[in-house]
Amino acid sequence: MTATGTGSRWTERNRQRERELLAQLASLDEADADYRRVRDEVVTMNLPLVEYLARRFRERGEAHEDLVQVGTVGLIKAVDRFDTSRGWEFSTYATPTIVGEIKRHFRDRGWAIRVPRRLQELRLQINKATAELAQETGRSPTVADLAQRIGISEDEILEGIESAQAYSTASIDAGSSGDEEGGALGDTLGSLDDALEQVENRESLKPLLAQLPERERTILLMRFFQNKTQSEIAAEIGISQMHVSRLLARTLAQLRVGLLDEY
Amino acid sequence: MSASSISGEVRLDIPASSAYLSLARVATSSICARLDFSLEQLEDLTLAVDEALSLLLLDAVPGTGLVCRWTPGEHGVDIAITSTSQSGRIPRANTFSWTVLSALVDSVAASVADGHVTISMGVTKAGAAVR
Repeated sequence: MTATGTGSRWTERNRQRERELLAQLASLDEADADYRRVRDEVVTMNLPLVEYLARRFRERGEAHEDLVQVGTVGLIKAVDRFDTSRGWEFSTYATPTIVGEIKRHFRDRGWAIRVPRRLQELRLQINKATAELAQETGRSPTVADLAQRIGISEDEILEGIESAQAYSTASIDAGSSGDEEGGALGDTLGSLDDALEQVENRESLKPLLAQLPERERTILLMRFFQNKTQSEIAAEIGISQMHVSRLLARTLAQLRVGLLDEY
Repeated sequence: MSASSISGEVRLDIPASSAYLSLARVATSSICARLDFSLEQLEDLTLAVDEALSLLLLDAVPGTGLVCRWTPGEHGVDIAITSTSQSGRIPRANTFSWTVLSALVDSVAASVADGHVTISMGVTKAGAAVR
């Protein structure tokens, strides 16, 4: 099999298959049992594209798997919005959507541009070592663990962590645009209702929770009502623990704005 | 292997304004990292301080200050945040914020004295004892 087109890693057969699937998807009703299957196949076929695009943003201090995760959200959006009648190649259409999601992730993170390069690189090293140590020991590392692994002083590790804390404030305090579409994690609203049973202001909470993307709502439920740790949630949802932490902080800030009568 | 170069209480006085939340977050992260908490616990602690301060700000007398105190112990840290309260009442325990706080720290309590409300939180290091 030979790849056609310059720089393409795809065979003509793949391209053909993708066209068929997209055409099929356009003709199917969302409620149709086949819809999900066809959509999943298109998404799966294009995951290498997300991988490729995510790699273009490496060395910016974010975990690769987090970028793949947000990029995949972009890919799913592109699949859902793609209009076969326009005659575009799907990858041409999907690329800006995927890159847009990844860039938005950096923007939400609030530090893509402003953090000095040295600190970004330090942060990346810390992220990498954190993931490795968690993998090896089954627990979240301490500053001392990280200093030993990376071979720099504890003070330097602290500087990296503190800079991340300081730079993340913009996104936490500013809240978020809130239009992120959640993944298919199952409807969590019903179980939230049960969890909220003891909470006095649940009636004012409910509409706020309903506005949250599904993933954020699920994470909130798992962390605060099922008392799972961030690592446990990260493993279940398939994102990094740092990403869980970030989403929690953002979600709490958003809810806080809506719950001014809490006291 | 202890990173502890801090002992004794650390105290931070800030104006009762949400603009200073980030300062309390950074202080929490910095102090507790030196006490050998895991990164994950650091993030929970930071969220907890954020939540407690935000809760107290809702009832703080404008123009007054907030006092944050971190007291390291052998197995963890106690954090107390005190505000000057408008209502002179402690936050209600059955609110969402309180649920969040309870999930983030090992113990949380509120007390009031002379118009000052204090939220006290205690956290034990993950490896240090039974959690």
